[in-house]
Amino acid sequence: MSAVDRLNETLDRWLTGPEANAAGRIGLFRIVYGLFYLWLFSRFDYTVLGRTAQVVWRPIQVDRLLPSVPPVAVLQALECLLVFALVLLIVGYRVRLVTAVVLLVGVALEVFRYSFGKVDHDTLFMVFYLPLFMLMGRWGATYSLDTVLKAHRTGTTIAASDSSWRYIWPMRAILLLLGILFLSAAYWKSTHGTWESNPATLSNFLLSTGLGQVADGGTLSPVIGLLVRLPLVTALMQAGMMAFEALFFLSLFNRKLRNWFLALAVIFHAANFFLLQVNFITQVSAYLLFVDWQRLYARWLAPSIARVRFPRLPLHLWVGAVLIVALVTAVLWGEVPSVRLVLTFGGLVTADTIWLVLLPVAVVVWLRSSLTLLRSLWKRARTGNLPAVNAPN
Amino acid sequence: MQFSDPNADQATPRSPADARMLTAIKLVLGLLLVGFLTVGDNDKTWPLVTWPMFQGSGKSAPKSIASLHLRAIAADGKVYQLVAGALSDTLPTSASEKIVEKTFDDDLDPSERRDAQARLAAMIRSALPGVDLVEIQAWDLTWNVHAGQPPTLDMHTPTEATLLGKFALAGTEASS
Repeated sequence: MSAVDRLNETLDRWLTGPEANAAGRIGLFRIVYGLFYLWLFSRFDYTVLGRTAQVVWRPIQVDRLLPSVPPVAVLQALECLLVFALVLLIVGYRVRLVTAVVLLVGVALEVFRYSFGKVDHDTLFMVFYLPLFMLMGRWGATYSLDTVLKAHRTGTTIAASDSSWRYIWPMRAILLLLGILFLSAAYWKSTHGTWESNPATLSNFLLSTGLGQVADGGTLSPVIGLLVRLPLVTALMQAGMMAFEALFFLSLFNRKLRNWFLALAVIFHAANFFLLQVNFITQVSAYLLFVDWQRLYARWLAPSIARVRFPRLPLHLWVGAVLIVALVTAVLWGEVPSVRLVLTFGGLVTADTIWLVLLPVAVVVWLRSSLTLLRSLWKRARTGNLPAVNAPN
Repeated sequence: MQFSDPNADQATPRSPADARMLTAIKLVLGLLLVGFLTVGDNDKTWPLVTWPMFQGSGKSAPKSIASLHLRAIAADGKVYQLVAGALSDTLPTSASEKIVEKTFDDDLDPSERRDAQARLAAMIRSALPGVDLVEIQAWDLTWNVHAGQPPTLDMHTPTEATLLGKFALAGTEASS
């Protein structure tokens, strides 16, 4: 067997390994993703782009043939279409079609947003990779109106506990891309910056950012003020950050390491937000894919939902009601601010305040993962075996 | 570390449709990998980009800090100070700054300038609703960093304050 064949076989085995509750958790993730996207989308007003002067239009590769900023009406229509598709995605109606719409419209809006001289990297997974792989996957197979309609037609249903790789492979593809992209971050910092050679780089960066906030009318964060006086601490933080980015790909080889690195990734983004005001909240949409939503649902929500008596309406009436709700939400999205306010609980849960919840949760998960990992390593060291690929938790 | 799959025996049997699916998945992943290697640190190829963020940051301790500010003067003489980078929640920070810089660019022809000014004025008006504005000024401000523990800026006295330009607000309607 040649090296290429062996690599191919390893990749196949890695992609097709079973995962507990695969069918149920991916269906529930679809709902979580849709809500998360709508919530984050609520802070943006893409029509601003259409009101921007032609002279500042700097199209990137994808839209370089467009002669000008799209008009406000086009941007408004795209916003409405995206909201319409996201509502249908949450409910699970025509999932493959609406996933394609979410992918295309989301990418189009972001391409326009990045055509004014600055490209951000935080929305990459939420807007592009997640819908791209889900378009090829089966996240509409459970917890969707499509499943109810199919069950009515054919009498077939899919068990939420089904552990087949056919449902969960997008999670592995996303993990692979996260590993590659984090590695690229470490590579660029090492080769084009001083992150590897100068231990004061992080300290300098913290100070520049902190004083930049002062110049913009804010105050110097007391944590930055303290950290720049502790060069050994910032040097260790810098080394830890570089090691985290360079070694994230190890999460591909072991589930315990995966949980450990993913929790650490959330802590890493939270630290970036609190110290540098760099908010990568959209990136969290990718990490949410690794939560076993089915287990959480079965434990916390299923008993309550089982008690709910849904009205016994003909299925076509359910479909009609869903379409009307999606349409009304889409039409009111740009016109009635209260629609967006509902999603942020009256402005309370924002892209900034959510970190106050995410950070402690991530710290607890990371500490638990660290203990599990240490216990596992200790056990293996005693028996003489090292952890294996995809070792079950 | 042993790179074999302990779950291999439990893996679901693969049908011809599964094999086709696996080929498609690997093809997409392979194309993305080739794409990453091709684009390097070019971010104009979004969404096919790598993560070169902050690669050149922190090379040396900051000696000075610059910030682009807008001064919006109201009819009652009151002056509102706005940070150019924070004009819009939707646009990335440095994109907002570029919009302001371009509005005051000497290379613009008169109609482009009028249009750019009208659109910038509309953005500022939406940030200051209900304020009767008469003039907009753009200032490039620089402060030297004073050595200290921690280093500081003397916010009240910028080391350098350059007026990029100004315009009166009467008749600044966008051309389209």
